[in-house]
Amino acid sequence: MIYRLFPNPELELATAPASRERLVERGFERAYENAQEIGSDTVIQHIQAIRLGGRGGAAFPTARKWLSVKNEAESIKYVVMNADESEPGTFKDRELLLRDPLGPLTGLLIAASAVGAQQAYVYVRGEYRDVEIRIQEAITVLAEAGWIGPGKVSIDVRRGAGAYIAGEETALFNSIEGYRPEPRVKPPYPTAQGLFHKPTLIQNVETLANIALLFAHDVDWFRAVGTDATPGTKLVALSGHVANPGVYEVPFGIELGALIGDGQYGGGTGTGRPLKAVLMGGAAGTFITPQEAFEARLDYPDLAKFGAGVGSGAIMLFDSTADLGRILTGLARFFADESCGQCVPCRIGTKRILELLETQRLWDRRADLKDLATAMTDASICGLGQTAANALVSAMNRPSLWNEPAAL
Amino acid sequence: MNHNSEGSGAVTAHSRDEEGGVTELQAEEHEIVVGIVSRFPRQRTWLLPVLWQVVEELGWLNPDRIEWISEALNVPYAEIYGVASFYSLFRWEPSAGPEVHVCTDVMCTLKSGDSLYDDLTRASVDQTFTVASVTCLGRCDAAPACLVNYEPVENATIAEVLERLRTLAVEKGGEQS
Repeated sequence: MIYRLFPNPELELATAPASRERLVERGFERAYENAQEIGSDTVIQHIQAIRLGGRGGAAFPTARKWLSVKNEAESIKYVVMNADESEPGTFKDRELLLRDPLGPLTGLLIAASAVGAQQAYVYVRGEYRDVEIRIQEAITVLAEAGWIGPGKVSIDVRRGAGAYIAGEETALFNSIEGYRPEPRVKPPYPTAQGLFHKPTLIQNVETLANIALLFAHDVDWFRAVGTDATPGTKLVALSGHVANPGVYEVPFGIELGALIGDGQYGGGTGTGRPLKAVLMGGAAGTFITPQEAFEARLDYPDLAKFGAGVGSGAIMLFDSTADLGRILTGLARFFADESCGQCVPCRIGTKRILELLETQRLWDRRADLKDLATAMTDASICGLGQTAANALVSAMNRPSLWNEPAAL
Repeated sequence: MNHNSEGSGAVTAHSRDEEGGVTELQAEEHEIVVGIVSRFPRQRTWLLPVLWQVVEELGWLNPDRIEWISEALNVPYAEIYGVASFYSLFRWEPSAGPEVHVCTDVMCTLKSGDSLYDDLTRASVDQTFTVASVTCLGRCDAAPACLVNYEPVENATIAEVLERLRTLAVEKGGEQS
């Protein structure tokens, strides 16, 4: 077990998640001061040196984002923590914020000072009341530490109200601004025109926690685990047919087989039945076969060989009793329900996919489906429509998933 | 979007009295809504917090309440309604009791979340609570999951949800006495 993003068990028992003691013991106080001292250029160089990519799913290079916002000439800028986590299989930010909220918030404040923002927002989904309370407690600790308040950065917490699409960065801006949370057409990108049309740095919770860790330690410490391509650790969320569902912190490069089968992690299906399929990365992720899962490692280049990615860190496991058609229908219903309806390819496309699945015409209409998926990927405004058919297409490309399960 | 409450706000008629005047209850509610809006800076960015506050204090949204927010913020009714109706956690109808949001998404269905929803729907015929199915609540590690008055219940069973509802009813009774 490795404890970086999560505090080690002794510290977790000894200190409250939102307490001054935790802030000090975790080194976040040191991180905050260290980042102020070395200045924004060095801060961004260090982020570049650890090759940090966004941990929300898209893995965009973090340093590049920070540099773009920093270089914008506008005097008003914003930083936003995206805690609007919500799709089947993804729940790692919930766990991170509940167990160690001061890490992501320290990262947010380091971000604000590095890019020159005076106002920070935390957008948390309305279904996470327990998380929201924990964030508020943590903000009180930071105010008492004198990091936020008059003349300094201020942090506003905004609660969503049940809309998956509000997690899309530009939809999230619209939601904060008091408009319908519909994604905007990009460009302009958030780094140039984001919240209130000002340069905005928006990052996932886990990305910001990595920032706090980096400056609590240093580049070498950070790079000591993980792979060359992707240093550090990842929070993975195991769910479905798995003996020990939950969130685990693991080094990049770990064998997926270990993650799924080892007793300290997933511990196998837990049902006494063999594994049938793994959905990697999230609801718009990639289905892989058990054979592929046992060959792969948790890293971007390695998973790319199977057409998969790390995504949000969601790993959904299905045993031999799972009805793949039903699961795909469920996923299709999720996207059809959560499509904001603004752009045609997504609004119509997600509904058509659902119909094909519900009427069991998937295999007869393969060619149409392929066209539809291509049109959605090419022409949808945002990631929801662009990726909504991913899991379905990946499952259809793996005939073995539809036959008898492999014995493992 | 919530499967059950989609767009239901649009069909609720304004609750004027027979002469089309304003009832006493409405005048009281109007004051509450205007009071809520005045607690926030009068800027559109505070709309979502205002809507949440109205739902928390009055229990649900309706066309009157949307109109009062619209007047107080000086933003057209359609705009406010367009925002409010987008979100699935806002209730649009009065309800006698607490609301249970049951996840019937993929991972919870794998752990019988759909039967939990059916069982709760049957149990709610006494109208002491309402049930709605929702998409992923982000608690797939503790499936099936639901919210009782927005508070999460993990590894939910019908017995546990009903127990929570009983506890809520006792607490509410305690407040009133």
